[in-house]
Amino acid sequence: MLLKIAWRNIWRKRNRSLIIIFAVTLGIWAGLFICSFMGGFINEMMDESINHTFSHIQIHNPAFKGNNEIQYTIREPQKVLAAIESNPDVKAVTLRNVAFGMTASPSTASGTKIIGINPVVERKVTGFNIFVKQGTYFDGKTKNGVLVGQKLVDKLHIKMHSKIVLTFAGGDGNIVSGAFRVIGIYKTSNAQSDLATVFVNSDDFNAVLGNDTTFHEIAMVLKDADKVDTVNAAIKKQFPTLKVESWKELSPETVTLNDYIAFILWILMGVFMLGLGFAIVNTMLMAVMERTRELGMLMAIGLNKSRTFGMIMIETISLTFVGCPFGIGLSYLTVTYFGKHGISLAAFAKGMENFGMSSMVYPFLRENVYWEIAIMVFCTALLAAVYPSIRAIRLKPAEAIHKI
Amino acid sequence: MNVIDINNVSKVYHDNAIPVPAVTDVTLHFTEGEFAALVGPSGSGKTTLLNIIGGLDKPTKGEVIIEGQNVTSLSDSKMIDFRLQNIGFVFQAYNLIPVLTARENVEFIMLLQKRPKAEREKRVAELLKEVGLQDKMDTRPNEMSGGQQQRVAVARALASKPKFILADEPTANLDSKSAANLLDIMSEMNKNENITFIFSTHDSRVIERAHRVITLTDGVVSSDVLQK
Ligand SMILES: Nc1ncnc2c1ncn2[C@@H]1O[C@H](COP(=O)(O)OP(=O)(O)OP(=O)(O)O)[C@@H](O)[C@H]1O
Ligand SMILES: [Mg+2]
Repeated sequence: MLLKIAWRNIWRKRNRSLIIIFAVTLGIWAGLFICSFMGGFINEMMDESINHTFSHIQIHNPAFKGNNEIQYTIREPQKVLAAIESNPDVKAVTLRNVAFGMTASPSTASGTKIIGINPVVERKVTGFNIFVKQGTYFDGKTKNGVLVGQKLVDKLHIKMHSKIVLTFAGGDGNIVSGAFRVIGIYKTSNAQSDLATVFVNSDDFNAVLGNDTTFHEIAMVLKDADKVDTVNAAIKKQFPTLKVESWKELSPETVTLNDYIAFILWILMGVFMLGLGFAIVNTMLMAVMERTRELGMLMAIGLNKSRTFGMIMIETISLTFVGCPFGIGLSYLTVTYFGKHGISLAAFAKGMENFGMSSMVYPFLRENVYWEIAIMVFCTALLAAVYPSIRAIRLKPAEAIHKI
Repeated sequence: MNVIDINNVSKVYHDNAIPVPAVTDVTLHFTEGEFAALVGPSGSGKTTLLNIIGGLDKPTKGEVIIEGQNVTSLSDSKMIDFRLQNIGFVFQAYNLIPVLTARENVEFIMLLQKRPKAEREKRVAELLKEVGLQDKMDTRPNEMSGGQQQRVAVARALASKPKFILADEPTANLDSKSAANLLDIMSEMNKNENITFIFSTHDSRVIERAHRVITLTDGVVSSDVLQK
């Protein structure tokens, strides 16, 4: 019966209740939409900078990173590769060569990182091929082909099929170099790295070096990106003499950005919930004041304090929860729609690309978030209901009844 | 045993720190089945006295004993439960829960008392019939006249099987016909169920119907007479 009373009381002041329901709907929608937008943003960022470039976990010679010298190779790379290939959590793994050197065109030169890849396996690991905008990805026919970033093409004044010379320090300290032909021009959303990285076939790289077994980097992607920490730890244990790093270690700035975004989201949610809380407190206080005589009468005839308290709590919570399904439904529709069609950030794209992000955002929400927000709203309603309920039980029946 | 013993009860309000004596040294006893009117001019202390008897207010001095139990010393929460089980109330207005129908309003108090469903339904139907509202069972208060609402309130007050019913100016907002009708029902109930009624009023036609008339003047009992 208390439930019935509470429910009917909600519809007593229809407009006011509708305002709260609307506020709840809007609050949930705005909260979820921002979450999903940020989720999409992070996904995009992760996809570009982690999945397609860093990969999830990389392995190096422990000395490699500091000096980037060509002699710090991974010992017995095929053996390590085989061990990792047999790890059930790993989706794909590849070997790479990495050198720091010079890329020169007839007119000018630029310092670049030269990465030798196994084109077939790399496709499965990072799917780098998708970034090739002009020409082709390595097709296995052209010898000494090179993929050059659009930015570098502009800088070196070269074009498709231009000949360029890659120069880097060999293992014995000698300078080695090789002539390569531009077979493709790629463009990722990270302009900085596009300017400073060229890709060649690993076989060609080793040929320039005069050696066919050196590898500097093992990169892998996992079946489940969320497992990166546990898999990383396991591989670290498996190869104690190698340097095993997850993308979180390789790109701490991405982690920081992720954390920062999560933090901002929490603050925003907090603000939404605070606003919602105040709206609820306000409305329910009004409802309690209006019903002073009725509440006084109820306490006079024998509605005890815990029941009175419960009645106002139930009313507040049900009021809030009427809005919940609307908010969640609306969010679901919006997120699904934009998740498919994306939101264009073209206006900001120039600045964004420098951070390694693309200009389309596809909102994304984990299913759990819907529940989390429902729980958050519930807690807010619960907290917001307390004060009006206390005000209700503090009423003195004798005075309340005679209030005009 | 008396149903109610009021022993030397005084109540002093403090209005801006100025003491206002509302009721002074009242001693009254009520036995089962009384039909008593509390009369007196405005401000004479009728409401104050009824509130003290009903435990809605605490006396400054003196005590109220209901069937041998001193209720003056009960805590607020204990008093609410005591009222639920022992005292019926009819106020001047706003007696009913607006969002509930007549039937639900009467049933509500029995629900609070945790009475079984079958008993509740039977008694609700009985009582609403007795107050002549069998065809208004599923009507909400705002669709009823003032007189009908007061009759529902009387039915509700009886539903809890209280030891007595307190009514503060139950007819004040009613036209004379509705007032007479309500009094008929009250005295009917008083006779049939032997339930004690104490009500305050200004209305001389209502006073005529009482079996006992207690007059308050400036918070003091100035006369207490049995009639008829
Ligand atoms: N809460 C209060 N605070 C201060 N003074 C009060 C309060 N309640 C009642 N009084 C005073 O106590 C006196 C008795 O009031 P009470 O309401 O009991 O009279 P009453 O006989 O019921 O009058 P009425 O016929 O107008 O209802 C009055 O002087 C009134 O002003
Ligand atoms: Mg009065």
